[in-house]
Amino acid sequence: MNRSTAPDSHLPLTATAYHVLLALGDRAMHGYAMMQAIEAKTEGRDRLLPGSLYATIARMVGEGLLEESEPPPEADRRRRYYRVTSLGRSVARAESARLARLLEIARRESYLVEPSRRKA
Amino acid sequence: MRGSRIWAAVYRLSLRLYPRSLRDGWSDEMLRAFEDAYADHRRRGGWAAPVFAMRAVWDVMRSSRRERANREERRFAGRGTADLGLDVRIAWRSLVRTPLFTAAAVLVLALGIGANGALFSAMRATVLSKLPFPESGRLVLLDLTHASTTRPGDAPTPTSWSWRKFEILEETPGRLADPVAAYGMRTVTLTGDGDPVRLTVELVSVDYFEVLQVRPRVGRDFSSEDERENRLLAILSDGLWRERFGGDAGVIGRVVTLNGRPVEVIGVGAASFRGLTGQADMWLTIQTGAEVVAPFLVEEAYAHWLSVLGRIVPGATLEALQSQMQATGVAVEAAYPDSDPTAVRGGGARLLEQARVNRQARRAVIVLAAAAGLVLVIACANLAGLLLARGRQRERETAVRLALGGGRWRAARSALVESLLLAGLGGLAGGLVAWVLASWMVRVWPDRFLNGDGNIRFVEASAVQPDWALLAASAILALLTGVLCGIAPALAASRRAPALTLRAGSAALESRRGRADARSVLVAVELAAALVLLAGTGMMVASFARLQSVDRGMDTSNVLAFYWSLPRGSEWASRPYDFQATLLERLERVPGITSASVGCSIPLGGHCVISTVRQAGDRRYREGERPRIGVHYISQSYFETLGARLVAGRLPGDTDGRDSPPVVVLNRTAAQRLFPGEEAIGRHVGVAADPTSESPAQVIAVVDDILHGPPERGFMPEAYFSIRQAPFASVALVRTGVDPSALVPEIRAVMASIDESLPIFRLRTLEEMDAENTGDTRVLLMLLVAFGGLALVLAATGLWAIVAFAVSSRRREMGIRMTLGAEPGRVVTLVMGKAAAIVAAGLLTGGLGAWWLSRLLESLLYEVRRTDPAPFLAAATVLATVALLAAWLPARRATRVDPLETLRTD
Repeated sequence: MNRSTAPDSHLPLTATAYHVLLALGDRAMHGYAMMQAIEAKTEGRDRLLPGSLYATIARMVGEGLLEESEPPPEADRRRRYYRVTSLGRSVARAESARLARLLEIARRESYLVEPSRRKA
Repeated sequence: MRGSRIWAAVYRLSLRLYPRSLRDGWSDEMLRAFEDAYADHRRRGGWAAPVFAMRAVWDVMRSSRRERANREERRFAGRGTADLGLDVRIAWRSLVRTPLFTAAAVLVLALGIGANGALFSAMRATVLSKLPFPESGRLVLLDLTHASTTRPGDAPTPTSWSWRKFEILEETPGRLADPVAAYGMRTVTLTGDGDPVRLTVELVSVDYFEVLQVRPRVGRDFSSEDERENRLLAILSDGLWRERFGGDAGVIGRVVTLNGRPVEVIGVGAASFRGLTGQADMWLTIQTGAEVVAPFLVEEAYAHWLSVLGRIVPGATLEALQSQMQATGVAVEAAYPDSDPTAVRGGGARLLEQARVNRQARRAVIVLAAAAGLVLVIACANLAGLLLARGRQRERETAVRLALGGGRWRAARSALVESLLLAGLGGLAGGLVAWVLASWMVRVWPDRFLNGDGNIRFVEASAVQPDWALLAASAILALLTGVLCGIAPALAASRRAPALTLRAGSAALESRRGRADARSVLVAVELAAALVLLAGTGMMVASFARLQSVDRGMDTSNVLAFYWSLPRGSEWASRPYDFQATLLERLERVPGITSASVGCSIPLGGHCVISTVRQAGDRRYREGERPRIGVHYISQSYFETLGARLVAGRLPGDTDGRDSPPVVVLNRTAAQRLFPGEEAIGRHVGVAADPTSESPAQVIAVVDDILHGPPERGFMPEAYFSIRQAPFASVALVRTGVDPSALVPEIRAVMASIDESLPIFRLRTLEEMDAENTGDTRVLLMLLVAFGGLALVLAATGLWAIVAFAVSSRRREMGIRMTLGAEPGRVVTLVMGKAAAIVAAGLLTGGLGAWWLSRLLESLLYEVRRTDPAPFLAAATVLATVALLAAWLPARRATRVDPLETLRTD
């Protein structure tokens, strides 16, 4: 298991792991909430399923990208809540930067059609 | 709600696909998230909920496969792909997890490595190691040589020197070997200072210690003044000094009594040094020896009893020395011409290092080393086979690793690491086996093996002993074995095609040809090596059986023999016949002794004298044509004691005394050779060494041949004279009605009752003597049988494993065949056909190898030719039977396959 503290060594992230980081932001959530958040944020285009989601969470906890957190006061006490660690945040930033660079290239190569142009 | 419960149950079940480590912490949450999401989807109505549930289950199936693969990969490749320590840990864990496999592999290796380690120590003692003298590579044996014009083409054989002949060598100017020394072995009796004791002494010329560069630990060496002034001087061996004289340095200058003569002790030899004969209790100058033992030792120019040793001078080559010695040999012949006109005399030189063990022993050690090597080859092939089979069981694991990007080199490396680890364990155990085996060999090693050519005996049994070199050799062998055994499985591991393996169910793969064939080749190699060993063992068995079946001409059971010696100048020495008669009379009175007699050598142990026949009947032989004959001096009951058979005539009795005409008993061979087709009894025979009279003796009886030497020498003509006419006996023989060893105290008491100062020595039974004579064959045989048996078991196990594996992996195929109507018998035939092909290939290769390697054995065999097909056929039959039986046992299981069951499973 990759326990390196260098953010770059965790790249690239799997799609699921990136979704998890994006869904959590700086909040603490349980797994099902993450599924809902991702579905909502992507307008239902990307859906996660419990098996692969928890397998990913398990690995990310192991790698130090996520940690279990105290549930918020109003929360369901039976569930486990997770939040992003500072390493996880750095990794998310690094992965975003990497994807941004790739997108920039894609744009130059005309792979990426801007929504505004499409409208026009 | 019912739907949700059913789906929850299905989902919970599917979660079992995850590795336990993930399930343990997470399955509850997964299930809860599933239930929440399912409830959500139900609210959306329609097919949303079941579609979600199916997708969720499918997701578990997909991701669980990935998780399992990840975990495998992490277990192997975890941190840093180059972590060798991890490989070792993993290999170790997997060995611990399969204790039976590990134990089998370690045992196989331990035996292979152990046998080689033990043989290595024997080789080292006999062939490889340096002699324990400074610059031992320069030590040479200087020989006089003898060849005969009657046998042209035979290489000249080294012969001994007489003192007079040695003097010629000493006086040769510009010798390329300098200094030189002569030495020979005799026995003397030490009296005073406690019980009389028989000592083995080396009689040496004064430069002996100088040549060897061995300094006395106490006192001084012999000097040339000692020789000139004819002083009677002795140097004690370290052992004798400690035992007899309590290690007291005050012994220097003391006078001891040897054969009744006073001899001054001037030194003590280096610790553990026993001379080149390896047996010296004491060293005397040759002049002292002549005084104490017999004057003829120096006076008689034809008394050949000395070996000569020298140190090659710096810069001289062995070839140059050899030609110089040839010239010396010719000069010696000119000074003391041989009476045999067919003799061709010369000289030669040999490096001491090469002469230290006789050729037989060297050959035997090499044969055994080769046998041990074969055992290791078999063990190695066996282990490689086991590792291959194991590699196959792990096929999926390896494939997953390769699929996930684990390098092929890594896959190969972990296979190699595992093999090396096994070999390491095998090496440790093998070191232990070698240690035990080497100690055992020391105990069974026959004396005859340890003798070098001539008067040399360095290879003390104690030199063949386990030490660090042996362990180091075991370690190196283990390393080599590990690499060799690991190569095939490592290559196999790296070649595995991941996609194929992962896609196919395990069963489909088993019929893939490539690797099954690698194992078949390995087993064929094992069978071939085993056949070589077994054929060699077979030849040895045949040889031993023939040696045993040689008619000894007597009943060797319950006969005890011992030597005595009458010191010169003692009372009895002047009346030897009276002594012999007294001894016989008192021995016969001992209860338990059924017959007693005296002779001058122990039967099976040699002749008293080997002489030549001057005259037989009317025929007088010319010098050089005289037939050789063994000469013995015996008492009347000699043949009765031995249980020998009288063919015709009467045995010498009371009437054949000193003053009556000399009589002789011939053995059958002598009677037939000297009087072919005629009656021997009543004729006269003149023997050159017969000291009784110049007139020929009358033949009064013919006895059946008695074996006087080792059985392979066969019978030769023998003449037996009566001690009444020639009182030269020095050996007593008693036949007992009870276990002969029980009578030893009584026999010692009888001797002491005659004279307390007379020692008994070389006391042994004829059976022991016989065993000693065939000892080298016996030991070779024992070791070869052990190695051959081991090879047989290993090869059979190898075949068993491969067939068992083939059967178990083809159960499905067999099930189908049997469902389609194949007879069970046909299915067995199918499996056995393959086994038979392997056996045939192994036997064929092995047969050729055995025939080729049997050249090594030929000189060690008695009346067995290497072209004799019987040992080969016997070995092949035994091997084929055992191998096919080993194949049949698992093959039989194929018939018990229940077709329905095999089709249902998998």
